[in-house]
Amino acid sequence: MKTLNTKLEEGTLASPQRIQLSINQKYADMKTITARLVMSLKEKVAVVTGATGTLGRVVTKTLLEHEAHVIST
Amino acid sequence: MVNSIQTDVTNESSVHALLQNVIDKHGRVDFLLNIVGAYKGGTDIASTKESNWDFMMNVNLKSAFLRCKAALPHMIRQNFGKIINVSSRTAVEKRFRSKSGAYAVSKAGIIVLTETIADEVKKYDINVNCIMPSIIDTPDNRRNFPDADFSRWVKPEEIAKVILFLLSDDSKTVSGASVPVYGKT
Repeated sequence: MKTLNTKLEEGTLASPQRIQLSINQKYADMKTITARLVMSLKEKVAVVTGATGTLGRVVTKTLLEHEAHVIST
Repeated sequence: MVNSIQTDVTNESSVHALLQNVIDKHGRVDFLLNIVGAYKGGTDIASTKESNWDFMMNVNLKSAFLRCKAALPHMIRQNFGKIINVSSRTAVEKRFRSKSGAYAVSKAGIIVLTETIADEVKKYDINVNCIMPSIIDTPDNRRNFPDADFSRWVKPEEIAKVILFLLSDDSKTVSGASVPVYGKT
């Protein structure tokens, strides 16, 4: 037990606080990635051929949700 | 906002007019997604009609070539662009090719087209990649294969996520790639 406590204090084992910090960091990273994706697509001009098919429709809808300009054929 | 323009994707003049229309209206073209495609199979090569062969090559391969050709000068001028082509698992796995020869050849051509363009434009900020789906979970495919295990099929929304990644700044280092999007089927 003494060894375990010592390791926790030294930070060599994952304490609940460290786990929470790690989760918070991962969540922040995800939000950053999402924000970067939105910025990557916003106002971009996209030509989508085959937009009447199932995949084309889904892709077109997704691009519109990210505020791209879509020209479909 | 969506603008819909009727285009014969196998006709160079028609495709050129499409791209010119986009440039006139928006001044640029950032993304080109060549999703249009078709399938005609069911016969081995010895029985494949010339008309079916031509149809597969025209709709699946020539159309992608024409659109890339029309879009690339604009992308080079603006030093930016992302092109996504759609190949198929059939292009790389021979066990799926029997009685789908024309389709497989057209989709294998997409991979070579993608790699070739990616190499030719690598000095610009242009990324050219293709995805390789297998059977996509669509209502049509469910009707055509009623006994299949639909739970293993990849949904269009999942493929769209991969396409979005390839369009995003996070994929700047990815070009000339053929990305499998057939999950664990």
